[in-house]
Amino acid sequence: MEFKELDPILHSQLRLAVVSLLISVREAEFTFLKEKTNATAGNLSVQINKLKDAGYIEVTKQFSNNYPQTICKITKNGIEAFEAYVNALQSYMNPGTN
Amino acid sequence: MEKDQKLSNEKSLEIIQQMISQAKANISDNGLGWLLWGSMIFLASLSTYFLIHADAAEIYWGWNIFGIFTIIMLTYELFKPKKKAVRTYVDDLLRLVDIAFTISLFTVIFAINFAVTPNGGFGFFLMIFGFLMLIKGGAVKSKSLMIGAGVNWAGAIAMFVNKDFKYDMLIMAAAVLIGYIIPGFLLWRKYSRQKAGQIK
Repeated sequence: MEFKELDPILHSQLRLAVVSLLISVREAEFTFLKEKTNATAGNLSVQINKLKDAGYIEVTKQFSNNYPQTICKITKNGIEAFEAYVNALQSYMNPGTN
Repeated sequence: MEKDQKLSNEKSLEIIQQMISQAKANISDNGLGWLLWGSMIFLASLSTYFLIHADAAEIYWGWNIFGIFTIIMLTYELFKPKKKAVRTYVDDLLRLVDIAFTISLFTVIFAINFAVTPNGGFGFFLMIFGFLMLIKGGAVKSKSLMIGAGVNWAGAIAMFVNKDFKYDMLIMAAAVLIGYIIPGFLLWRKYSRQKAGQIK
């Protein structure tokens, strides 16, 4: 029986939450992610940067009505990594089916 | 969700499920758009009916005002600041539906002015109204909009069969009352109650 390795970038509570949110939408603002994850702005910002550095999400900073806006969007790599992570989790939960 | 805690497999699955359900498209409609557009079309139709009835020289005053209103509203829609903190795939799809509806609307306006008679062409308005009502009604789970779609399609057929333009205008007014104004009012009431925390 072989267990697939869990991606260390995704195997973290807040980063997994961010990617799970972004997988379901086209794009989301930082404020939306903060509200849904109940994280502090500082922590969320750090984790978003880690996901960005891994190439899992794209981060766009822009101004809307003179207010700064940070928009996050999952990348193709991010989607593939998320799918692989879920498959790996399944292999742990249901050994022998994969 | 503060510290970067060590995750069990069960906890990982729980987070995924929780976040996906949090991000689920929660489409709402405050009904004001339906009320506003419906009232304009209703008044334009009725004014045309009464102007024809009164043998007025110019019977399209209501529609001309409606046309100016449409251009102002579309310009506003195009340039108004977008406030949504999240953009879903459903949002994108509904936006395409709105674009398709607007283009179809202008195609019918062009046809009525240059290709077909008003008597033969106005029924197409109700046909595309029904299209919009069914899709938006399904998206916001509004039975009254979906019923309105059926009424508008029936109205379109009635207008194609009817040969007296004056009565086309009455059919149109009745169709938008049932398809736009009543569902718009019901959506607005539901939205107001939700906002006040009376219903979930």
